[in-house]
Amino acid sequence: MAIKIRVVNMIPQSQSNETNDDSETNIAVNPADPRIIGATAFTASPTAIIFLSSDGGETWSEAAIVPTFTSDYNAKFSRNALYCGDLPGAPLAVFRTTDPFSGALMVQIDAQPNIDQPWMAVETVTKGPDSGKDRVYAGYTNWNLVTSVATIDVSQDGAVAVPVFNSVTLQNRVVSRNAPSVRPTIHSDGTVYAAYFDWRAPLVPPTWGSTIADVVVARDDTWGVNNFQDLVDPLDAHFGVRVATGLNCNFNGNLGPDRFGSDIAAVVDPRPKHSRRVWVAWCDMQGASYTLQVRQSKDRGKTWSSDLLTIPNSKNPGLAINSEGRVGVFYQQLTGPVVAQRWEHHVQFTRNGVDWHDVLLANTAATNWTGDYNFLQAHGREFYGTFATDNTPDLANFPHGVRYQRNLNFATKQLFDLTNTVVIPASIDPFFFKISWHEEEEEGEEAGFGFKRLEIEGLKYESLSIKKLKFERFGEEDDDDEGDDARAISRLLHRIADGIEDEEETNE
Amino acid sequence: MATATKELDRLVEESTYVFKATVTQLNASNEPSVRPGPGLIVAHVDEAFRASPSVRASGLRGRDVTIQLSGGAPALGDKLLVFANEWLYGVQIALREVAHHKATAQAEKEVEELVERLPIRHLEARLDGAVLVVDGEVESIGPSPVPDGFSLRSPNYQLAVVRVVSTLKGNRGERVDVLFPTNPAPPWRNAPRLKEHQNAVFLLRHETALKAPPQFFTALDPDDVQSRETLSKIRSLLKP
Repeated sequence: MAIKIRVVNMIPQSQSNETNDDSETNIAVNPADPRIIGATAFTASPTAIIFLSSDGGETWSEAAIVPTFTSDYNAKFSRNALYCGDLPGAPLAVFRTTDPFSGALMVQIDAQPNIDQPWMAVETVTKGPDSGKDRVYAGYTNWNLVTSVATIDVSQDGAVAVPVFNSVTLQNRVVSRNAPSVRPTIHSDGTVYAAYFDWRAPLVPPTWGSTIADVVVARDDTWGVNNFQDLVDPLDAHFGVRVATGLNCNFNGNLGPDRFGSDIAAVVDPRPKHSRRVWVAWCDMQGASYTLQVRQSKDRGKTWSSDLLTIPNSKNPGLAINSEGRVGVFYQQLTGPVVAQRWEHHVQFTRNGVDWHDVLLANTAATNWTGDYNFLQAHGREFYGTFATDNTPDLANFPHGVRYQRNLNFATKQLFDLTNTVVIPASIDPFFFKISWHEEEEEGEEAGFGFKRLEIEGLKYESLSIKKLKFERFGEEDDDDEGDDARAISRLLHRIADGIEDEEETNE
Repeated sequence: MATATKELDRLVEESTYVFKATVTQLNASNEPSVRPGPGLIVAHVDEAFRASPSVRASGLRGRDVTIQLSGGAPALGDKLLVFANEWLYGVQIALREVAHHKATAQAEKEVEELVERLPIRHLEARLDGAVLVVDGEVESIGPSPVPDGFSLRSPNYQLAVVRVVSTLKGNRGERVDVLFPTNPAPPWRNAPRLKEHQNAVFLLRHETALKAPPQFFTALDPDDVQSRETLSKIRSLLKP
């Protein structure tokens, strides 16, 4: 299965001296122009910086445009602006810029006095009377009144000079608290899901430790106007369906040099008429292993599949679905003996939840903390992401190759300073990746055909299995059109499948 | 301190980049990510006095940099003393100017001296703000008795019990309880991690993040834990 994979070390050449642990990366692809990409990482600076690329991720710069320092931050692009949720100490500060390359500092548009782990999700409305408005969602856990409550600040028009934000409390069960991670995911039809953990039992000081947890997915059918109360759990009549219950979440446990305990991701299928399809991934203790699990709902979060994928010793899940409905599951897995542990950074792809295609992006020494989350984003057919890992310039660590901007020597596996003379020790760097699926590379599809008839056997799509399909050409044959025939078949199959799903949705 | 020196002192404090440069281009940028335009110049760095740790003076010296001016536009060929902060790092470096002065031998000398004194001034400030300065040894490391916030931004303290050899400032008994963070994330990542049997001079403040009782102290700045070799220097810097 041929796919194009690009991995780029994001540290600019002019930062070749740096030995910082640039951990906890996140990515923001501009939906209006995917050549414009932003990213964040804990890069040492008096103020937080935004990594910027204007060429689709081939080259990167660091822009000091966030006005404050950070304890935790990430950014997302709408079609109008770049939004950054920052945690300068304890408060939340949401910043915005319409031109991150201008050099102007971002402007603050939202604030909360005491929160943890801000997480941005934004979408520009493209249809209807609100077309052009930015829907802005800042997920976080609220420490203002009681302990750690899952909350989303929602603005229906984040692009105006002074946006109005409404704080929506997700927690509505009797629980001890919510874990820090709150993950909104937006569909262009106005459906917004949010995944979070209910922690049902307290953590006992002074030792952090296990708690019993539920994974909850809430939904709002009108851009957050209904306070995420459109999905009711049939078993307890509370808002938000419990995808999994009674989990063992070991908060602040250790996986190699990293801590863990609040790992969750969610994504809605971005295709038109597919907002009923939503995926969630999380990690919890399965025996002694912190294990990634992935589940899917096809009915707007009402019911959920069993585990479609489980990966032991893993953390930092990311989920994305591209314009063809291909799902990407991004994670890092700890491997190797204790004395020589390594991080493997993977993306696994599926279209049906059954057949998975694994891409190993990097396999590096697990040397230092890499952060509490990652993110995977799709635009069109492409998948984009970032991860933090050891920056030793060893080509054996990157199975699909890697490009560095900073000074180095691949032959000696050494980094060099700005003068290109002094060896710089290895540290944690942010890496960008882009995975491009080519149109002709479809599962269950032969490479093409040069005959008047073609038979395909053993095709699977979602829960359907087709034993045999026969295709027959009509019209003139062309010596060069083998790939076109294959693509035509692929499109035909997907239209049939989508048509079946659209029909199902209409009938709901 | 003369008025002019005070002004230079303020600029050095406010600027992570201080250098002497020659203006080589007007309304221009040498960094591809920065669009050229009014208010931008390119200058050749003739001498670097201060730079961010990720560039260092040695990495700045001899470079051409893009500068976003804060005030009056210089002319081509002008020699400037530039005070600036970071804006953008790409293939090249772009800086936001705080101010620039005409480069003179006298101003250069003063700036060089002020920059050289920055580490001492930082240490002086840490000493001024410390409520307790002790020479001692970490006797034991254990769990913190102070309830943590259980958030990802909590310090995740551990407790170091320091046996006091001598007290340089403040007044405590034979042992001091020092909380040190283990959280790998900002703002805790660069705070000193104490080790059992570590001998050092500790510049201590009362714990504030978790509002711990006053008997608990912290040493959160990298300069708050000094090797014993600096003992005489620290004594000389302590104000009576």
